Amino acid sequence: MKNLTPSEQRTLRLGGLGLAIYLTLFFGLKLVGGLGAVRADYAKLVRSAHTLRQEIEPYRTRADKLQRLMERFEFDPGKLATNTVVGQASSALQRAATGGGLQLGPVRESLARTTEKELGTIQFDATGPAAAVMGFVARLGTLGVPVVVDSVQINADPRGPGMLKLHLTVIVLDFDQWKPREATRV
Amino acid sequence: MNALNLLDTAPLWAELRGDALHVFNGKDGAELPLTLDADGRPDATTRASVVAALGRLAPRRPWQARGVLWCAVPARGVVLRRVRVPTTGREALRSVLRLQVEAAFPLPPDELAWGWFEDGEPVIAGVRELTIAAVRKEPPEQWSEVFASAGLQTVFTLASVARTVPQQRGRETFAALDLSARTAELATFQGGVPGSVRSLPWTLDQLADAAARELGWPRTGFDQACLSPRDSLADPARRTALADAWATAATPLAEAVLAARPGNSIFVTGTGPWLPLLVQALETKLAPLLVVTNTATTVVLGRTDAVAGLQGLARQPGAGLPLRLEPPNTAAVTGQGGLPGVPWKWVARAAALLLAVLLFPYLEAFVGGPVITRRLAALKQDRARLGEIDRRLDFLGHLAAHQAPYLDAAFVIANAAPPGTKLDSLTLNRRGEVSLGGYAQPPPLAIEFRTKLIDSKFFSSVVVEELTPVQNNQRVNFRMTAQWKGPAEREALQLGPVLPEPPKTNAPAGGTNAPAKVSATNAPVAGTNNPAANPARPN
Repeated sequence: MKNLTPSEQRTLRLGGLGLAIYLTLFFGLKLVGGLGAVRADYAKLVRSAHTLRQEIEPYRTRADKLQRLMERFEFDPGKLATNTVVGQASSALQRAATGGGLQLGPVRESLARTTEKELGTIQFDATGPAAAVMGFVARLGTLGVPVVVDSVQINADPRGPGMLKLHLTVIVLDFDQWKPREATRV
Repeated sequence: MNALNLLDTAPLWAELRGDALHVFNGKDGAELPLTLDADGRPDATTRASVVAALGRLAPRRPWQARGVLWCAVPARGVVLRRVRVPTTGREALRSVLRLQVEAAFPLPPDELAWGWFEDGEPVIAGVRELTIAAVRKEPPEQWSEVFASAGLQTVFTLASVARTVPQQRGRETFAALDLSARTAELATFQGGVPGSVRSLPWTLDQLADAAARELGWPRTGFDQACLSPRDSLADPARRTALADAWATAATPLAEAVLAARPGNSIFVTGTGPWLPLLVQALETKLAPLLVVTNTATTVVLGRTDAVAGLQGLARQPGAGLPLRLEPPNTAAVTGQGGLPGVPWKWVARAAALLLAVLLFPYLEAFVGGPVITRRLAALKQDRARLGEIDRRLDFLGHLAAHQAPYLDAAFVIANAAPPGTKLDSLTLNRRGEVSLGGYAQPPPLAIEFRTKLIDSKFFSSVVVEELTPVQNNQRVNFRMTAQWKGPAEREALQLGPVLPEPPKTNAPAGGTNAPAKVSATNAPVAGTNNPAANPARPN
C-alpha cells in the first residue's frame, strides 16, 4: 500500500471531518424532525384524552345518582327480563302482602296499553288491619320490581273494627321501551 | 487549545530548591532567589518579586478561574511512615489516615502538611499498606499565601518524587540522588513508593571544595578545569588526578548512598558544572550499581528535573500526582496534575441536567405515549357504556317521578278527621284524585273536616259532593273529592311526625329506639302511626 504524504493525510483528515459533520447534521436533523413528530403526536393524544375526559366527567354525578336510585328501588334495570318481570312483580306483591299480615283476595293481570311504556297491570284485593295495609302500601316502592301504583282504594271491612279492604292497581313498567341513546356531548 | 482553555489560567510548575524558586509555565521560566527572614518566612522583597514573576508567567484574565501552581518542596524536614489501614473510600481513607498520622508522627495532624501515596497494594484481604509523608505545615502555608496573592492555588508535592516520575514506570527498586551547589537529597524507592528520603550534608559546592583541596589547586582553576577537562587539561595525568580527586571527595557520599540500600540503580540529577565529573566518580565508587543521569544538554531556565517531572505528569492523560502534601484547613484542588481548575464533575452534572431538560419532552412522549393510548382506549370503552347509564337513569327517574304520595295523603286525611268522624272508603290514584266517603256525628264535623283538609295545604281543592243528613239530623253522610298539589308545593310542607334529634355523643341514647313521637293534635285514623309507614314519603 502506498504511503501517504502529509499533505494527502491532511486532505483525508479534512475530508473525513467534513463527511462526519455532514452525516451528523443530516441524521441529526432527521432525528430532531422524527422526535418532533413523536412529540406532536403525543400532544395530540393528550388533547384528545383531555377532551374525552371532559365528556366523561359529568357521568360521575349521573352514575352516583343512578346508584342511589338503584339502592332506593332495590333493583338494577339492566338485570330485568321482560318476559318474567310481570310474574316477578305479581309474586313480589303477594309475598309482601302476606308477609305484612294481609289476607289476599283475587289477583288480576291485564295486558299493557301500547301507548304507555308498560308491560301490564296487576289488580288485587287484600284485607287486613289498618297498620298492615299502610305498611304494605309503604313497601310497594321497594319490592325490587319496576311498578308504579296506579290507584289505591281502601274500604272499611265489615268483618270487624280496624279491619280494612284494600283494592290496589299497579302498573309494571317495560324497561325495553327506554331506548339506548348516545352519550351526551359536553 | 480548546474553548475550556479560555476559562482557565495556564498552570505553573515550580520547585523550591535551596535558596531559589524555579518556576516554569511550559514555555518560559524563572529562577527567583529567595531571602528568608529570621522566622524562615520569605521577606517582603522576595514576596514582591515572586508575585511579579508569577503574574508574568501566568497572566490571568478577569473571566478566568484561578490557576494552579504545582510546587515541589525539598526533602528537608519530610518524614515518611508506612501504615496499614483497612480498604475504604477516599473520603473515609483520609479520616483513617489522620488517626494514623496522629499516632505515628510527633506532631498532631493540624500542625502538619501531609499526604499519602495512593498505590499501596493490599497486603492481606481488606488491608492496605500506605506510605504517609508529612512536613511541618509552616513552610507550605507561607508559600501558599504568597502564591495565593498572585492568584494561584497551590498543590505541594515532594521534589524527590516529582523528579523521579520518569523512572517509576518499571516500579523498580532504585535510589534518586539530587545535587546542586547548595543542596543534596537522597531518596530510595521500592515499588515506586519512597522508602526513605533525606537531605545529605555533601553539596556539590562542598564536594568541589574537597576535590580542589585534594589536588591542592586554587578553586578558580579547579572550576575552570572541571568545566572542560579535555580543553583545560592537556596532560592526561592531570585529568586522571582530577578524576581521582573527585573519586576521593565522593567517597563519603558513595558510602552514604550504599548505606541507604539503593537497589539496582541510582538516578542522579542536579545542576552545576561539576556534575559530570561527580557522576563519573560515583560510577567508579558504586560499581556494579547502575548510575543513570539526565542526558539533556540544554538547560531551560526554571525547568529543573522536578519541574520537568511535574510537567510530564500534566502531559500524561489520566496520570495522577503520586503525593499531595496538603496543609490543614486548605481546600483541596481537583485535577490530576495537568489542567485542573475545571470542575469536571459539576460540568458533567450540568451537561446531564441540560440534556435531561432538552430531552424530557421527547422522553415523555416515548414513555407516556403508550400509557395515554391505553388509558384513552379504556376511556373510549367506558364512553360506550355512558348511553346505558343514561337509559337506566331515565328509567329509574321516571319510576321515581311517578311514585304517588299515598301515605302522605292518608296521613293528612287522618290528621284532619275530627273525633266523631268515620271514613267508609278512601280512593286515591296517581293523578292526585282523592275520593273519600263516610259520616260525621254531629253534622258540623263534616264541614270542619273539609276545612281542616283545606287548611292542611296538601290539597289544591276539596269538594263536598254529597252531604246527607240521616237519623233526624243526628249525623250526616258525606262524600268528598279532592286533588292534591304538585310535587314542588307538597315538598314545602312539613308532613309526618317529628323525629327526635340524633344523640350528639357516642353514648347509647335511651330514647333513640323509642317509637316516633306522634303529633298530639289528632290521632291518626288510618294507621299512620305505623313505624313502617311514617318515614316513607315518596315524591
